[in-house]
Amino acid sequence: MKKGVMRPGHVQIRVLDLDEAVKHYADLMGLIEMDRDDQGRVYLKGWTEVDKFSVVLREADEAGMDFMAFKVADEATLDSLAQDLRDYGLELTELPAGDLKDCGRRIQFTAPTGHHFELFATKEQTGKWGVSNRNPEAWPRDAKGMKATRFDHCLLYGDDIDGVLDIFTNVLGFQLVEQVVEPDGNKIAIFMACSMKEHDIAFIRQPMKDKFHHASFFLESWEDVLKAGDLLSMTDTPIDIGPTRHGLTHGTTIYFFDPSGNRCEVFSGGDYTYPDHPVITWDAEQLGKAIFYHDRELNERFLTVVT
Amino acid sequence: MTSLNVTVVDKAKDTEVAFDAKSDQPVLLSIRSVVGSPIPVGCKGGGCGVCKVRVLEGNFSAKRMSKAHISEQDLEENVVLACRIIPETDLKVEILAETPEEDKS
Repeated sequence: MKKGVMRPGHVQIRVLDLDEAVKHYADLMGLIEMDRDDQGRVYLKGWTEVDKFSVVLREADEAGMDFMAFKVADEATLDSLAQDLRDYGLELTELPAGDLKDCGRRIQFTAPTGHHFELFATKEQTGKWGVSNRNPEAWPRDAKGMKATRFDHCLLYGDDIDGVLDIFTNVLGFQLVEQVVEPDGNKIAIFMACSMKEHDIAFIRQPMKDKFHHASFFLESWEDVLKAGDLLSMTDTPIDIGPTRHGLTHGTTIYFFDPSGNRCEVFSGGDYTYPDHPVITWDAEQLGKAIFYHDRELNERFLTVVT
Repeated sequence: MTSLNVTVVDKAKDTEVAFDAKSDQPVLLSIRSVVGSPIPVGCKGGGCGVCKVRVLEGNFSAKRMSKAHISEQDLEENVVLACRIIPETDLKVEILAETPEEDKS
């Protein structure tokens, strides 16, 4: 049952070299640089996003994800969800408004897989980039590179994905949309949504804590995914796999790496979800096809390369 | 740019493989022409730790590597990521396979 969590709000990604990272996310992927703060963090977003930013890059001495945030309906919802998380037994950290530039207060918790998540209700709305709210044109003519339209979801690796599933579905109102299940019923992958999408957050079970598999960005078409691959070759950017199709979600996809080794995805298409849809289940023996629908087998990097 | 020689020692497989490496780019990026890379290839960005090696002989400069995989002590012991070291001389490196349990983060 929906509890007022609307959508992925932002992801803060650690990078080893900020300038190289900005080139990657802005010039190559086409995210728009919106701002910087006095900590040196860079704020970006896809051109269709109405809030001011959805990606924050922070230079650090290790790669990976600091946290991922979800935007909730309003401040009252934020308070009630915070109480629900406390009642569940989680320790919360409240970050004041302005800790992230032009973002309201955020409630942060650590999931059983070690990942940090946060909820917020307020962020400055600058509107879609390059198009107006009144009689809008179809797209901005000066978007760059892959022209990524929005931050869409993250896939994370961790151990206790059952614990994560419990919190996201029962406390935060997410829907389990797809899963990969072993013969004994043990879940090895969970794809969850707070929207009509096939996933807003996904986890794969691996014996590790707090690992970042990828952040994903939406493109308009399969041809855009193909051309993203062309741009990766033109810029000599390491491609992980693709362009291809996923079995899970059925989206068309390409995986590649940012200059610090964080995996990125751009994808298009994919299935949709209504609250009455039954859970889609993939058998673990079909994992290869579930992840890469054409190859029907995992490349070694899919399971071993994370930040 | 000059061409340098990099020798990869794989104790697990009991092999030594040599390849030509360019002096103006990280060692791992010179391997694209070698069929079946002698060094495991991961993210190519210093983030994932898959291509960890110990430099046994030779000089190199290094770009930043994730502390989750390469500590200060590792650096002192010439333990580095092949995707982030740029050779200055011929190199001899030994493969150090990292398992997830060894992750220092």
